[in-house]
Amino acid sequence: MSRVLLIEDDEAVRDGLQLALTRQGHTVHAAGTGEQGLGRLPEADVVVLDLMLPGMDGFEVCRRIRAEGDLPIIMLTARDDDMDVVAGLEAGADDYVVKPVRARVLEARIRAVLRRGTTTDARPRPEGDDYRGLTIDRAGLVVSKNGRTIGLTPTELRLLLELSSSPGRVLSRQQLLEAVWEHGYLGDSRLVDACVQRLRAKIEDDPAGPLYIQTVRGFGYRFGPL
Amino acid sequence: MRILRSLMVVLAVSMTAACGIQASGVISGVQAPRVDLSPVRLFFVANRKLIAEERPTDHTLSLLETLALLAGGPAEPGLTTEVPADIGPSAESGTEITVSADVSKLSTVARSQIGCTLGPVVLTGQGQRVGPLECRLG
Amino acid sequence: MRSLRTRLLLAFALLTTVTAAAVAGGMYVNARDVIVQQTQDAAVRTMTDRVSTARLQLPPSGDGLIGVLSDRDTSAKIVYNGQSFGDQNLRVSPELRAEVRTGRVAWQRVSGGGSIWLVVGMAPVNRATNRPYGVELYTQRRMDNEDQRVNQLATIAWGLGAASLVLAMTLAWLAARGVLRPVRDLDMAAHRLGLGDLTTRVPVRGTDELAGVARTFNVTASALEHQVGELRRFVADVSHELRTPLAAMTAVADILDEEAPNLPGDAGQAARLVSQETRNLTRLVDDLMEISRFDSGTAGLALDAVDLAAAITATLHTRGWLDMVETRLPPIVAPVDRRRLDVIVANLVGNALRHGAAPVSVTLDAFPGWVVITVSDNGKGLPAEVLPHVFDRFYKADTARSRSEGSGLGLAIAWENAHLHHGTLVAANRPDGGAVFTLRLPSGTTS
Repeated sequence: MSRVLLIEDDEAVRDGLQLALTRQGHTVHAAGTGEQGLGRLPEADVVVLDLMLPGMDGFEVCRRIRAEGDLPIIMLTARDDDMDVVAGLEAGADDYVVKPVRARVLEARIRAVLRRGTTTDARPRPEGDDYRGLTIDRAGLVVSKNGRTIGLTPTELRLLLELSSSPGRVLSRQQLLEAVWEHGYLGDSRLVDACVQRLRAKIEDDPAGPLYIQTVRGFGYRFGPL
Repeated sequence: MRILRSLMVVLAVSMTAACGIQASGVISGVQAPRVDLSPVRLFFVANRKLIAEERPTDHTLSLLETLALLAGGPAEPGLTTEVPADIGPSAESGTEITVSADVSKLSTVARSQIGCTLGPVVLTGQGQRVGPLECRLG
Repeated sequence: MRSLRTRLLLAFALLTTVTAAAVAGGMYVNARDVIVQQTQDAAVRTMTDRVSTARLQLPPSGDGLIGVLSDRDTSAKIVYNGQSFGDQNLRVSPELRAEVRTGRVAWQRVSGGGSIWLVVGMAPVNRATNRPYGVELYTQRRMDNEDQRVNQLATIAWGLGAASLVLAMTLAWLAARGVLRPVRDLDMAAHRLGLGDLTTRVPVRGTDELAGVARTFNVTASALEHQVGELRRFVADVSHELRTPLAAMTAVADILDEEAPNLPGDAGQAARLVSQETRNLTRLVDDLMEISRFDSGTAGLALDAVDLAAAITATLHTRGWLDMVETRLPPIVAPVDRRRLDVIVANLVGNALRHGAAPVSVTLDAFPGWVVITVSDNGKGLPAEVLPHVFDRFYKADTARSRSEGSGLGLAIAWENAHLHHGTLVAANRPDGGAVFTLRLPSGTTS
């Protein structure tokens, strides 16, 4: 199974989650501080990160992880930290769960986010892979712009794939939440918005005037038209 | 509140009742003033005209008293009388005076003197009767 | 209950009336008596002078003394030896004659023919003998002039009284207004405070007792606001602190569930119990935090144009209730907070299924400006004593059933959610049995 890096300062929560996830077959490395966690990044396939950490806070850890690569990050938040959720998403988290959380739920999210980075779609596209300089390799899961490979997190990649699978068609946040995040009916649409923002920053020439991922007010997002 | 309300009623009543000048009971003052009687006016003669001479009195004179004074003659100089001094008044009854003298012998002037002094009296004396006497001044 | 204004006005009116009556009345009476007295004294003096300087002629003849005593305003009469001379119409009362005959000058005010007459009488005495002549002299004059003057005084007195009454009432009214306005402000502020607006304050004007009350009110309201704030913060903090241990317990609850069948004897039951109660505790803490957010005003509303029919259907679907509930959901879109709507609908339908009886129905309707969602059941309905408290926090209708599912905050949270949307949630009993909960939310449109 997968290797999970759990960064959580409360010992009981840490032990509990480690216990439960290990039972599910994951290999869990636990860290009590951000600094400790960052040291063990190479051992992880996915990071479960508590936002409330002593010393270096969760957002900073998130940013550091993003700076080094596209490791999927799932945030652990308390429900009343609305602003923190947004900040965490902007810092680069793929998804979030609210404490207290049942191990089952967390585990489902971990699997979903791992799936995002691996499911491929080898069907050939009739339009080809090239969209005005942006090349999307659906089989190899590689995205490049003007020849240069762009590093995307699994979530960003999945979102781009989803949008570009039906270019010109508007997809609602709801639809995207279900397709990309596999959230049920009550998913948080801010996840979509934050991810779109990060994606635009990476692939658009002018993120303020997006070409590839366009907002359709009141309806959702659309890939193109170019 | 009750006290105030009854006070207002009392006020209202007293104010409306005591308006204007009201009748009163008898109010006494000082003792009655002291007054002189009018003097008696005796008519005597001067220059063929009758002139009254006033004599103060302290009581109302009867006809007899007045006639007696008249018969006594004038006190002021220059006045004469034709009323005989012995006319002798003796009784009076109403406006009738009984005298002892013979009234028919009284002169016209004398009769005028008596008439002006005593008013329209009737004189009876010695069986004679004159009057009611008139008063002719001149 | 008479208002302050009325009492003040009445008090002033009374005070003024009494004072004016006393003052004006007193002055009037005094003036009137003085006028009357002076008139009488003058008449008596005049008559006495005339009599003193005249000389009595007895028997009284013709004009004589009568003429002396009479003038334009005065008529005279002489009584001598049983005979009357002069004006026979003088109003000489027997009492007056009696007094006159005692040798004193006497007078009397007599009313007759619509006027007041002053009758003066005297029986002059012989200067020489000091004995009365036996003659009675009387004069009579009208007091109309004086009466008129006195009545004028009365009119003025009344006028002044009325004017001062008006003035007093005006002053009283102004004074009342000055007092009443702050009182009214205070009343409204206290009312607002009672309704829950703890930020209510009263402007402090001036330095009198009312200002003192206003200041006290503000201080008290501040203290109350602070206290309540502390209380709410405490609740929020407690709930927050409970989270961490709960998070650890929740994380491993599933393990207990999975291992329960394999545990020997009571241990399995114990494991399931702990797992279940951890879930319950988590839900309670979540609800407490939700309520805390409402109370502190930090609850946010994330509005989105939502297809209500789809939303309600999804809510029922995720909980597996679709088969158990009849629905009538026309396609209607309205701006609502998707999550909060789910919370409300789930709570209402859950309650209907648990405490009501089938069939449970959910209907959706649109009206100008509003959308209306009703959840009704065919159970026993809500007892009359329960109905006004059904949205209270921790109010459990059936106290015999000490433990039901849920935290006791479900309906309270549903109510707060409805109100956050600026909508309403009301509970009632259906005429043909069963309870019905009606949720109204603004639809953002006027048609």
